[in-house]
Amino acid sequence: MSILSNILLILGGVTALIGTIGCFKFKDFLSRTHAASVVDSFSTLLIIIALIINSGLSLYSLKLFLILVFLYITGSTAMHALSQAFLKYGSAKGEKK
Amino acid sequence: MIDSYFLVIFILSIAIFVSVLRFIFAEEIYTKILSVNLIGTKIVLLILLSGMAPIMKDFTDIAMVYALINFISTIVILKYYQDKELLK
Repeated sequence: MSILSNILLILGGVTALIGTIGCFKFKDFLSRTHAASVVDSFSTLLIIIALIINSGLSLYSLKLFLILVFLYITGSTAMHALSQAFLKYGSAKGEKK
Repeated sequence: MIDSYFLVIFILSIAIFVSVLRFIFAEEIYTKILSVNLIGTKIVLLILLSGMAPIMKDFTDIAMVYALINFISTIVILKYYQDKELLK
């Protein structure tokens, strides 16, 4: 059980680093949102599931599960709102549509 | 077990530093909002990881409040810039 938790934790950390480096290296804005959504979906899922496995079944893991559900919903919604705002108004200067 | 915690906290700190560099070198306001959202998500994960120490069990509530404020601030800043663009 502890080995699985360790593997999921390190995979989550590596996924966060990969998404951030992608967000740093890409040129276009929509490609940057694509790379940043990796952090929002994969990294939170892997790290919080690892913490739930490590802490067992209690009120603490219920709170962790609620945080996971909340981060999933709000991360997708924020990325969608950001992309829609860029597609409507984001061709002023610097970044191409 | 505790060594992988320290390793993941170190990796997340490097990722937050790279996001701060993305914020500094951004050209347009949308990339800055994106990087602030990214930093907020990783800080929530960092609070959860440091809350696994045995004396700091109450950090999950702080992480929940942090995630809520992060989402609301992103939406409000986008709404503010949308109104500013519509006034032009």
